[in-house]
Order: sequence, then C-alpha cells, then structure tokens
Amino acid sequence: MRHGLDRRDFLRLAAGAALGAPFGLLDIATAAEGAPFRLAYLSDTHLCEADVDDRPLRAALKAIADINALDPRPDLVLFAGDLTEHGSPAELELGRRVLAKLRAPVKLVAGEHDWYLDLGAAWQRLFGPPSHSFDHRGIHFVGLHSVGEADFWTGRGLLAAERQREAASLDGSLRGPFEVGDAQRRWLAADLARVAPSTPVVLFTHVPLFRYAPAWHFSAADGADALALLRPFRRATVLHGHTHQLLCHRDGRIDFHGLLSTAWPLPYPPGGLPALAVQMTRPDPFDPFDGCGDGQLVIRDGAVDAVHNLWARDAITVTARYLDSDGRIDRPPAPPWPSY
Amino acid sequence: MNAPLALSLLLLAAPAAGDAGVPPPQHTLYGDPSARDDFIARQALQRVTDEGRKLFHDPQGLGSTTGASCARCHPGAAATHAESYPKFHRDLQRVALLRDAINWCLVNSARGRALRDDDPRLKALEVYLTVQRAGLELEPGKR
Repeated sequence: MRHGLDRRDFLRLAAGAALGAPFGLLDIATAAEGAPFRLAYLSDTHLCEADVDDRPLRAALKAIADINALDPRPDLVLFAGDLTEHGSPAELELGRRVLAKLRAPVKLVAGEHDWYLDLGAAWQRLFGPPSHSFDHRGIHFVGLHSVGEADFWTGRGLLAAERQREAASLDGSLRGPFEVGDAQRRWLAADLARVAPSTPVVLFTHVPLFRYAPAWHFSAADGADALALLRPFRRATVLHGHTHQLLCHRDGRIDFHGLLSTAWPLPYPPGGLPALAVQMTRPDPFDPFDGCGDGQLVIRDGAVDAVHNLWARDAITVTARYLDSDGRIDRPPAPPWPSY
Repeated sequence: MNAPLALSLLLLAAPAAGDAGVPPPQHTLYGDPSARDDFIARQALQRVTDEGRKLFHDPQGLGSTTGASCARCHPGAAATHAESYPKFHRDLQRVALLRDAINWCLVNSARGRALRDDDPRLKALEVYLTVQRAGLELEPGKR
C-alpha cells in the first residue's frame, strides 16, 4: 500500500470491524509548567465510507501512522473539524474508530461537514459537547464550536442532505456566514472568566476567527467578538482547520495558525492574505498527497510553533517568534512562484 | 442668437461627408447590432454560464460517484485557469484542451465517467470556467 500504510488497519476499518480501544478522551496530568512540550495535529480528514471513496480514509490512516511514530510521543492530538465528508452516522462512526487508533488522547471540534445532516446530533452523541476546555501543563486549552449558521433551510424546505450540501459548499449562495453564535460566545466568556489573564490560552476551532475571504465562507462573521474575549490574556494562540492550506496571522497578542488537511488542499482565495501569511507552493494536481499533511505544535512558555508536515515536500515551521517579530525573524521559506 | 444664424454656424462646423477624407461608417446588419441583438447574445451566454455554474456544484449532474463536486476543490472556479489552455497535461502526456482537463478531474477526482466532447454538460462547464477568467490575457501553455 502506498506511503507505508498498514494494510491490516485499512482493511479492518474499511470492513467496519469494531476496534477494541474506546475513543480516548483524556485525563490530563499536570506536568511541570514552562517546560517545552509537543502536541500533534490532524484536521479535515473528510472521511467517506470506503466503498464510496477510500482515499480520505487512506490519507487519515497515513496521518495517524505519522503521529503514532513521533518520538517523543505527543502529549495529545488536536483535531480541528470536518472529520467526515457527508456527516452520516456511518461516516462519523468510522471517524471515531479511526481516531481511536491514535496512541495519544485526542480533542476535537466539529466542522460543517460533520454537523448539518442532523444538526450535530450524531457528532455530539459520539464526541460530547461542541465546545469544551481543559488545562494541560499550565496552558488553558479551548475547543470552540464555530460552524453555526442562521437557518437557511426551513423556509426553503430543504431536505437534510440538501442542507448539508449547501452548508458544506464553500461558495454556496443560499446560506449566510458561519458564526460562533451567542450561546457559544456566552459559554466561552464564562469559561475564560475562570482563567487568570497570565495563563496562556490555546483555542482551536474549525473556521478562522479572523476575517478571511467571506465570499468563500472562510471565516466566522462574529469571530471578532470571540477574539475580544481572548485579548486580556498574556498570550493566546488560535488554531483552525477548514482552509486546507498553510496560513498564519497575528492580531495584537493573538497568533493564528491554519492547519493542513489530510484530504485535499484548497487554493488561496482572491482578495488577499494576512500580511504575515506565507503561501505554500501551488499543489501539484497530479499528486493526491501534495499540499496535504499533518503537523506538530511545540509549546514553550505558552508560545506555539506550528510544524506543518507537508507530505510531498519539506516540512515548514511557523514559529511564534516569526509572528511576534512581525515577520523579521524565522521567516518560513517562500514558494518559488505565487498561486495564480 | 436667431435660428437661421445658429443653423448656419452648425453647418459650417460640421465636416461635409467625404470632405475631410473620413468616410461615413459602413452600415451592415452584422456590424450594427441593435440593442435587442445584444440582449439576445448576452442572455444566451448567461444561460449556458449559469448551467455550467450549476453543474460545477452538482455531483449527481456530473456523474460523480464519490459525492464530490468540482467546487469542493475549486471554490469560485479558483485554480482552474481557463486562460492557460491548451497546454501540456503531465498526466495525459499530451496537449490538452480545457475540456480534457475537466474530464481528467471527473474521472480521477470524482471517479465518474468522462463526458463526450459533444455533451452539453461539458460545453456548459467549459463556458462557465472560461467566463470566470474574462478579461485576462490568454497564455496558452502556462504552467
């Protein structure tokens, strides 16, 4: 099998056999604060049932093999949404079994692909509340649900599958923008009220919270309101999925990192990138793994360096120092030509 | 100014036909379209463009077996580059037209069947993608 995938793993998952290990939500022990530590990430796996399209499953298993082979082992794994392509119960259950293969505990949020077939019912049954938080090694981690949308389906009488397809269409015209929404923002405000401003915060979402390509539904309309809740903190880092591309940004004391997808890359949108963003080279359309990957997050004193493990290229690291220095230090390598 | 004087000045100011070497414009049906002709032409192009846009977002209409539409990887028709065709296609190992590249995606990404050259769906997709790049310079062969 290509890229060193474990054939037995693939066949077992594709056949739907149950795995022994339960989905591992973590019981985190607090270790020494200040010591550097490592997390891994994977995101946007867009799993289909294997008889519909086996490629996303193979790619997700490759990412899991990468992460399980890391030495030292990461403390935990963050997953930033769009576990599945169509959000069906069968796909979500496949996703649960795939994630259970990770040797480190995983924390995840939902993407719009996971959510809009049944408005999150199956996802929440498998994975719990859409927003959640925990403390680990002196950092406050928050998984924030970010794929709310105003009801565009009832008035139009859309079927569940039509609603899911429209919600998942990046350039869809029927729906409005994504939003964190009042309920999730209230939850976030209450959660952060318990945290001292000197505590570094790492928040992960599916949709970017800064304004980025609204025409492609790349950001949450009320993202600025959610970010306002992070501004009192000494240091905050926001990680997001959804955009399937190398992307970074800084706004005040908040660093942003986009996470790579394992399934397919997306082009950069028209209308410009954040000033500090470094593009990845336009992916080779004939290499299904180019522009895809997984990664690691190295955290020192609350500052996050994102190491993007691009499968068909050299890894690219976007350091906190690069963002802190307004691009003067540690500039990541530029692509040989811009996207067009 | 009285009316006869004004008329005389106007006639003096206007060049006499053929006088300054500027012939009157040709009058042909083709070269002098009416507003109605323009309307019909614009509407016809818009109809096919809209049909192409719809297909671009419609996995069933395209015959995709994976549920993937074109727009999934190409929101807003981005990264399709109609202006760069014809060009050498590395996977096909020959010079490809835009329609060949569309069919390559249908077969390899959406795991459907290639559309025949005379299939109205293929024509509509080609029209939609080309119209998105209106105003750009043609650059056949650009990578």
